[in-house]
Amino acid sequence: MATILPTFAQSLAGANLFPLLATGVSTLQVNVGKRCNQACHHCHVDAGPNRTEEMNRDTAELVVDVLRRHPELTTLDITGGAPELNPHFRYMASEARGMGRHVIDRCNLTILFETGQETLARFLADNRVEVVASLPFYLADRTDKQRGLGVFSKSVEGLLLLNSLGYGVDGTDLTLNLVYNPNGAFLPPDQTEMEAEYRRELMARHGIVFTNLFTLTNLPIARFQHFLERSGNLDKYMAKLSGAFNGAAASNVMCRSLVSVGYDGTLYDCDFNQMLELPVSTGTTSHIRNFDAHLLARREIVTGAHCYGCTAGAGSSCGGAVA
Amino acid sequence: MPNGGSGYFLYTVWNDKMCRSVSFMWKTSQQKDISLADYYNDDDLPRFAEIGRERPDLRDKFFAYYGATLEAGELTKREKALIGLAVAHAIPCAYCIDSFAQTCLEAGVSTAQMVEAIHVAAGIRGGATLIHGLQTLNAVDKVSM
Ligand code: SF4
Ligand code: SF4
Repeated sequence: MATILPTFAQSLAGANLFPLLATGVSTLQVNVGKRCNQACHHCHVDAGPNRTEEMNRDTAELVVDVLRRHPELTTLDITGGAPELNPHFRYMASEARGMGRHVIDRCNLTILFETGQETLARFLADNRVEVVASLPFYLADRTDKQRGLGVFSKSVEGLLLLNSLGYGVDGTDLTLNLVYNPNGAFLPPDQTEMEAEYRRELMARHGIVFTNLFTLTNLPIARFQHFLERSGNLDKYMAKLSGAFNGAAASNVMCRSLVSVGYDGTLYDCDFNQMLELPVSTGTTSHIRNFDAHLLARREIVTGAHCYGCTAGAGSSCGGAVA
Repeated sequence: MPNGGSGYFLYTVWNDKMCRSVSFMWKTSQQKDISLADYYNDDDLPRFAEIGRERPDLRDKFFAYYGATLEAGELTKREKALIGLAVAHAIPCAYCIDSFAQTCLEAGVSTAQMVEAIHVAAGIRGGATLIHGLQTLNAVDKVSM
């Protein structure tokens, strides 16, 4: 039975949020490339070992320069692919830390054991970089189905290594946040309940501690969209997302306070729009070399049906639920 | 009697008094091109609200109650999702199974936990059958020399 869903713009209008405007820019989220040592089924970046797109030194220097000129950018959030594979990852992270900025590494955990990454965990700890690590479930079966056979046990090793350096341990300033995402066409659980479950199970089964759990919704783009199409779940999933539209979550979507930078320096409203090749709406200033903080801070966000993934239920962002 | 096994199935599960309306329904069904395969159609689940067609007031009261029972209270949403799944199997209701399997996933319940809950339901159903065996034994003893 085909049902016509309201457009995202209509849902925003119903919550008095159309057009969706930025409220400022406090986070620069930089996607340094699509290369990754994994090739997960749900990856919205279509990342993998054979991807070659990668931020070069000139663009990395432009990022550092923008941070230097804009102290209001309090957070540098580095993602990928596996961001640590970019040769300029450590340069950007340590420069930003040198300026006193908060730095986040979106880490897949298995990268810690790749050749050439032997000193990575120590580098992150020495620079007080927040680690946000993917762990789609606290059991091996669901994690491995999504991320590849053996990924769960390697992830456990990675978490234990980070714990041994003080990450996620009470009384240290080393933040280790974990990321849950659903293993299919369904919404994430309540973040607080799931965090308690992760805490209990990871401690009992592996002796692992962590700071917080973020529950994320899978957005219907890239590999996950292909899965939805192949499995005949696309229409139902879209109906579920739009039916769960929450105005409170919509008013807190992450794009209102961040700007996302592509590996070639193009500016986007978020990493998802980046993968959909929808740059920011500010025209000539849509490249890091023309970064105009004033314009970006009050820009109109480019939205589409995929945005329903950020506004369903308790909402979803790179920092978990938002409502 | 309508032709085919489906009609026979309807006849046997409904009692004699209902038989006439079964025949009537069958005719209506044929006109609307509905067959038994349309029972437990998962497209019906999101149409649940249509049950308020004649009495929206009763539907709304029921939905309000239903929603309230599943909110977190002394039990978490997750615990309630597992109870719902077990009951769905005990009843057993295909709609509820579909719905509560999804609710469990969205409450972060593992597949193993769902299977254990289903075994609890099966155990209690089986136990209920067996404990009634004592009724049989009592009935036998009562009239036996
Ligand atoms: S680890 Fe992350 S970037 Fe790499 S394939 Fe998996 S989801 Fe994509
Ligand atoms: S998908 Fe991007 S642009 Fe759309 S609501 Fe989410 S963060 Fe904002």
